[in-house]
Amino acid sequence: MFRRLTHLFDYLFRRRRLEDDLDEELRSSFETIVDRFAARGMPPAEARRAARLEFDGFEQVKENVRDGLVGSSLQAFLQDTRYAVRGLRRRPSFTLIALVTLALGIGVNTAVFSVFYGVLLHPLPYDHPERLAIVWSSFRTAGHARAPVSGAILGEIQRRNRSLAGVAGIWTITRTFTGDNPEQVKCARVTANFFDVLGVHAAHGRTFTNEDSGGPAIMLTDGIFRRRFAADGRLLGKGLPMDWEDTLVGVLPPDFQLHFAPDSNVPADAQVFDTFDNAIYTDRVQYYIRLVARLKPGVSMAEAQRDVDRVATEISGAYTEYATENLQFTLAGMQADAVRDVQPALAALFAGSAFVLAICCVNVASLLLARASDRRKEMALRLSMGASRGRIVRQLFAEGGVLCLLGGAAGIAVGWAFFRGLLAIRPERLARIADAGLNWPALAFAAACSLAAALLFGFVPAIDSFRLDFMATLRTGGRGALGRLHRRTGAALIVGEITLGFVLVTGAALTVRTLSRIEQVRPGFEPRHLLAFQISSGIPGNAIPDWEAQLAALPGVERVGATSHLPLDTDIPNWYSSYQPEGIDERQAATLVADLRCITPGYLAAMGARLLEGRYFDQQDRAASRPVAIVDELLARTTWPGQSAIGKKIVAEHATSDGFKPIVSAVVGVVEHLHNHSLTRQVRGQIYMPFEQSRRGPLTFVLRTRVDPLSLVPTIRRMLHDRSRTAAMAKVRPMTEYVSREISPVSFTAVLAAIFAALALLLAATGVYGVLNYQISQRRPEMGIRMALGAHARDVLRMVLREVTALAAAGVLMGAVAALIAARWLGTLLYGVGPFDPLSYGSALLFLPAAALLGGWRPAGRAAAANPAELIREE
Amino acid sequence: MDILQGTLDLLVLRALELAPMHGVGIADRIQQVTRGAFVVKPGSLFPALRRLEQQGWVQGEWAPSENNRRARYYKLTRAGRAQLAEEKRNWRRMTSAMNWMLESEG
Repeated sequence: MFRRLTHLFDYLFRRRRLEDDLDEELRSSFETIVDRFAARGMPPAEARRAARLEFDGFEQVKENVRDGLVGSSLQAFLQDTRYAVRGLRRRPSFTLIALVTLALGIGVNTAVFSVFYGVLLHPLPYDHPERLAIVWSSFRTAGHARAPVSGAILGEIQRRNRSLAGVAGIWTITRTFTGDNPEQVKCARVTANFFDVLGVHAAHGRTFTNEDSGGPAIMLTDGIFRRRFAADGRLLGKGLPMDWEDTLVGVLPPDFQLHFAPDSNVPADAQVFDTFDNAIYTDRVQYYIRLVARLKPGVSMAEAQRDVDRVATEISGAYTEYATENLQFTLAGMQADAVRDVQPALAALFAGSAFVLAICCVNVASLLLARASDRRKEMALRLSMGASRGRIVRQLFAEGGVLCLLGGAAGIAVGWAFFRGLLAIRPERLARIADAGLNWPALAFAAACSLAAALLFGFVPAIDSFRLDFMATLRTGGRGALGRLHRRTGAALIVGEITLGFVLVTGAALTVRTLSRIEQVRPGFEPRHLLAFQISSGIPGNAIPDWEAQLAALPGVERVGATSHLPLDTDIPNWYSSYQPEGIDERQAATLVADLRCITPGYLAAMGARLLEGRYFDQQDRAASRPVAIVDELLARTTWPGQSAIGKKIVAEHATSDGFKPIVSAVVGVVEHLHNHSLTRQVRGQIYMPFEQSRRGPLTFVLRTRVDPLSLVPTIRRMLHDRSRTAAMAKVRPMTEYVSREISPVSFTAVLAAIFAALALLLAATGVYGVLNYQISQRRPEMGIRMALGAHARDVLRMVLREVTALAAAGVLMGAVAALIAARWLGTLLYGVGPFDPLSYGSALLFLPAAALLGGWRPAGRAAAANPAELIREE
Repeated sequence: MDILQGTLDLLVLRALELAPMHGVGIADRIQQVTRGAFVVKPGSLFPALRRLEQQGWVQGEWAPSENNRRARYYKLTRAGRAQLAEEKRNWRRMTSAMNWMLESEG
């Protein structure tokens, strides 16, 4: 071993001397043989020739010696690399184009993969997150596939399951820190085992235990503990000034966050946690608890699913109300469930970026292939000088490798910049990508991309070199035999590129059209010229009409109103509950659920919601007068199909001074559906109650203005300050901001898809240019002969362009087929356009051939402009 | 006749057993002793010599040759002698095995 190492050392550092030694030895041996022939009486020249025949060639011998020695492979590798670098530097424009293309492809992919990884794959910050599952109840016949459960059902699952280590429930409410600076906070109410199920430990103090259930114990997130309580550890075990009695028992770690799907209404940023009372386990009426379960070790999701299926069957007999409803439970991996809404879009974007990378690789491969063909003469020469084919193939791989190494490094830089850009336009739903950042898996992914590209790039020209008949190549000056092969490969590359480009452009067109359709959606109100702001405390309920009148009197204000829950505002937990139309059985009604809102008389008119039937609320709808309600058309249509809702009686919970109470009210109006949760879907029906009859706050005020909504803010602030020292405006925003935040995931997808499509077009054009440019330089003699035989420049131009058109047509055809297949898969991401939207396909049909012709124009023109005599002479 | 794969080392070591020799001399000797059956070309001889030298079985030194050129003479090292003995034993074992096989009856 030691000897081998010293030889390696010799080889690497004393190579010059060893080589000199070998040279001298070979020369002296050669002379010895010459001497011997001369001794037989041959004339000196003859003797040398004979000796040379016997000696297979110095270079060949030296090559054989080198190949057999320790360290030679490393040495050859270094040499290949040096040689590759030198070769790349000799052709700066080729190298630059190849590098820019690779850097773009790898960069875009690295950035998109970072997003993909950060959102979909980066494990949730819980203990063994892969064992966590969300449990949904579903009432198939009622059409609620992802419904919460009642406390009674939670108890049944906890008792009867055999595959779960624990099942916990959560639900969000609003609580208020009182004191000098009152503050409304989101509070998650959980079962005492919640943090045990997640496997989260307290950073200070402790998490909940069974004895805490329904008691005063609360926990805080690290964020609010620092901001509001200056991270004062002495507060542990003490009561904090709050709306109800409480004791702080623990503080969560800084990285703690809730990760539930948006439609579960469990906000990621709940700041306070308290506990359910054990009384919930007897509640069979209210369905509002979201469940998270931990699978026992070794239990698969499928086994657990079978287990909860059994539980559902067992209890459907005991709970008669489900007999007709076909209750089922569905388990879903917690992470998959949390990201299911963004998963298809991210997968599509990832696929799109992979397409871009594929096109980049095709471009670089065709450049390298062209270059390899250019170098056939050099290769043939080296082969005839005694280089082994293996050595030449190694060299080709070295070139691809160096290119990809540099391209990968540049790609990571591009990826970083691109990722910064994505962070800037990221929708709130993708907040997690900031945590994950441009991460190791993403870098590993970039490295893998580069490596795959390097192998591909070495492989293509290497195959080419194996077909090389070096004698023929030397004779024809490096042209000739290669022509057809390269032309076939080049044509295939162009067609492939246009196919991929077609899919990307179609996808982008569909996404952009979806975006514009969503932007045109009427959300049930008119968001422009509408100001919204929240006031949590400081104006007593009785003073609201007066305050509204004062606002309405401001110049530039048309209408004023207020609501307990502003549409598209996700900060306040949604208020929704079951309702019971009069005359319908209570058990049957248990699954009828509506959004409930308390509003002032001017609210619906100020929002611009259209009144379809009956009337809005007015000043006569007072606390003491007959309870009234307004419903939306969705609820009216589904509850009383084919009948007018006006005058119908409905039981729904009201906020009273004694808490929530079911109250019978008469429907006096029907309005259009306000999109509370989603621009594109009508999630559930709505019931509006007069604030006077159901006082639930905090109120968000809306002002319909004639002027720029934000220009009124300073005046309003002053007015509020004059009215109350403690009142504060929060979340002062034009309503358009809520709408654009809702659109942002779609515009994020659309922007990325458009970038991909633009890249695809650019790459297709440069790709066609590269391939054609090279082919035409190879076919110059042919062109010359054609022109000498009487073809006009125009004919040559037409011939070349005809070829481009044929290739483009083939690419478009294949692209259309591929796009039709891919579009089926895009279906869920589209809104307002069909997956076979003719306009989107039409735009791809227009753009791709245009890009191909653009790329083909210059090479074709150059071919046509050349002088025939010169072209032939080159041969 | 082609030299059997792996036997070139044995031939070279054996050629050097009696006295140090230069490359051409080794090739000549192999050809003479095998009565022209094996012709070792420089393309395989020199790589083999360098390989044996790296293994430490032979050692090359520059010295004047019979017609007064500088030539590289190779001599067996101690490790080389041991190796030669080993390879001889292997070879004999193999040839006798081959013979038994060829001379067995049916």
